[in-house]
Amino acid sequence: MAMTALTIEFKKLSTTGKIVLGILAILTTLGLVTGIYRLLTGLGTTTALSDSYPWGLWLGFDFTLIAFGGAAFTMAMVVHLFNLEKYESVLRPAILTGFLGYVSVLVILLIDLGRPDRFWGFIPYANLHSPLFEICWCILLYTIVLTLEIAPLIFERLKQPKIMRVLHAAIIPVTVVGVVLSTCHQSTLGTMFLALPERTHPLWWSWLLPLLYYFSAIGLGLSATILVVLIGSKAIGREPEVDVLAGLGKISVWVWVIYLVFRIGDLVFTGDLGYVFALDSKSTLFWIEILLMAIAPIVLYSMRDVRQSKSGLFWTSLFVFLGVGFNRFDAMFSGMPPTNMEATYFPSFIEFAVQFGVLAAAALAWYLAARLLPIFEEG
Amino acid sequence: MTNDHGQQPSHTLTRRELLKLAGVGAGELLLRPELAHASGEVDAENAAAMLYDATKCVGCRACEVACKEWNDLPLEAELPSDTTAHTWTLIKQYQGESSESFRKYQCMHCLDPACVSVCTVGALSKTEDGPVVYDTSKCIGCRYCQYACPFGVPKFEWENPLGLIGKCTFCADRLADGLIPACAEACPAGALTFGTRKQMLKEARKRIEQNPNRYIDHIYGETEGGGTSVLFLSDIPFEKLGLPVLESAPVTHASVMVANATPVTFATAAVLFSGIYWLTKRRNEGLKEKED
Repeated sequence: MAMTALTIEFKKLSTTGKIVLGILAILTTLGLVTGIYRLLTGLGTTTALSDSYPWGLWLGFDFTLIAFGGAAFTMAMVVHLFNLEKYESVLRPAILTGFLGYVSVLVILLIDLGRPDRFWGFIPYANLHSPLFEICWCILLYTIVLTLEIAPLIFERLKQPKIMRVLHAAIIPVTVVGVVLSTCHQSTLGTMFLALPERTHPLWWSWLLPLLYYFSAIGLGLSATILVVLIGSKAIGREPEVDVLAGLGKISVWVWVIYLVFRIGDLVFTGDLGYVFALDSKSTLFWIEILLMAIAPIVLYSMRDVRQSKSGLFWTSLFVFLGVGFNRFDAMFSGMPPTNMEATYFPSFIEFAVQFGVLAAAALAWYLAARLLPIFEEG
Repeated sequence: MTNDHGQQPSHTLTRRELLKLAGVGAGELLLRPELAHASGEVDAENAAAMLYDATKCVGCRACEVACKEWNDLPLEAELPSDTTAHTWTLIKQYQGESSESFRKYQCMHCLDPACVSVCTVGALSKTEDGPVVYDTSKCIGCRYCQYACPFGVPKFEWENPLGLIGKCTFCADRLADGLIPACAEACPAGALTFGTRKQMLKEARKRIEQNPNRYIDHIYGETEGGGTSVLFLSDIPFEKLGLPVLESAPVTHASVMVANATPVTFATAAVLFSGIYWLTKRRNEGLKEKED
């Protein structure tokens, strides 16, 4: 039945809509084929990674996508823990985004591992000092939480009132667990770089990294919600809740003000402020990311006309997304390899193909879910 | 910046010695139990160490051959310019201001290794005997160790679909049998000396004192990154040999401190968010009552 409904919807689609879906399907297929090829042949033949640059495009996207998926915990926190009921209408798109974001991260991590056959290694073998060990556990547990948060949508559609009642009763404890797990792993992504003082430029290394990564995940979480509600609404032909999104923009302003105070305050305190005005490639990258991720939302979301318009919301939230992406990539590539310093890295075709394949698959899954499940209806 | 090594006194107190002198050794252990745990710090001075005297090295590469043979490592298709997953030690030549010098690349076997600290699954560990060893059966191939090591030591088998890390083991298997590392045994020039860390530091200091004009007045690895088990003597500045300038604190001291606070973070977040829920719920109920 769902399939016939989908077929009818697909026939009603505009030509642009059909082309977009077609491109996403092609990218997904290409990603699947190249992903399997990578698993069969190894990292050396398929990627530009090397001993000098053991992490690349995939890890950078993982860091960015985890912050993007922060939409789920941020909105769950706003709606269920801060009890700001106004925002309930955009909670489900945010949860769906978090779920698909994290699943994408898991797929990419699997393809990026040197030993994908041992992806479960962190379960029997522990190193409590490793930030990555903590992140692995948090992501595993949080993906389970996200599944529990997505489940009501499926059971609502399947009309299972008994299961719905159980899931409904569990909402608050599940949300608290999800927010606590997110608080821990979003900040621990910062701790990952805290462990790399020799490989990270002072502009991206600070004792405050855990705090900075946490606040920027909340900031991107809010903008990611705006972005997916706008794009999702467009895709299935409905009017987005601009008033509600404008409220998220307003909250964003404060999140980025706090972020900026900590980020700049830390540079002043440590005496590293000079790097900001060094006018070299590092300071340029710093300014690009700060302008996009912090200054743009502070200025633009503060303006009533901007946050009350669809295009204003769209561009501002896109700037935040790009800015946080820059930030995560900049941090990773800010330092020099300890030996073989003249080595460089630029992702291979297969790295791009796999990455965009996973992103396209996530977008397709988002679209199908929005068609089949009550994503844009309040529970 | 380039040559502040030269001004240091030949015997500098390490941070740990200083703290112990100040009577806060116990406090140090309480605050940072991982130091004692990770490195078996208590006996690091009596564990295995090796002194590489760059002024004695003639660049014959007998150490490279001995390493390959003992560890049964495959030959490379072409001579590598850097260590690889299958070439664990390598001699390179460097140009000083007036003279040339060789440098031996290999794992430094840090007392508090960054690779051990960050390894997701604990595949890397520092043994009581001194070597930093790698358990091939645990590794998941995340390559965090490659990023964390300030010396760029762990290398990955990029051509292997199920690749693993390769790095110098300090011939841990030979040490267990009472032998010295294969490279040290093979060295015909007396550039490699093997013993306990205490003995090696003493020997290095003696050489500097006896030949003050021959050496830079610093033992590289005595304090760098919390200290290493492989120590260097040189007549040209250590940076010119490609050795990083490191503080005396272990490289990952900041992240370990934060990681140790994880349970506190969890508990604080749980209490905080439950509290916020309780407070805002009461507020909303209050508002509704007023409306009614």
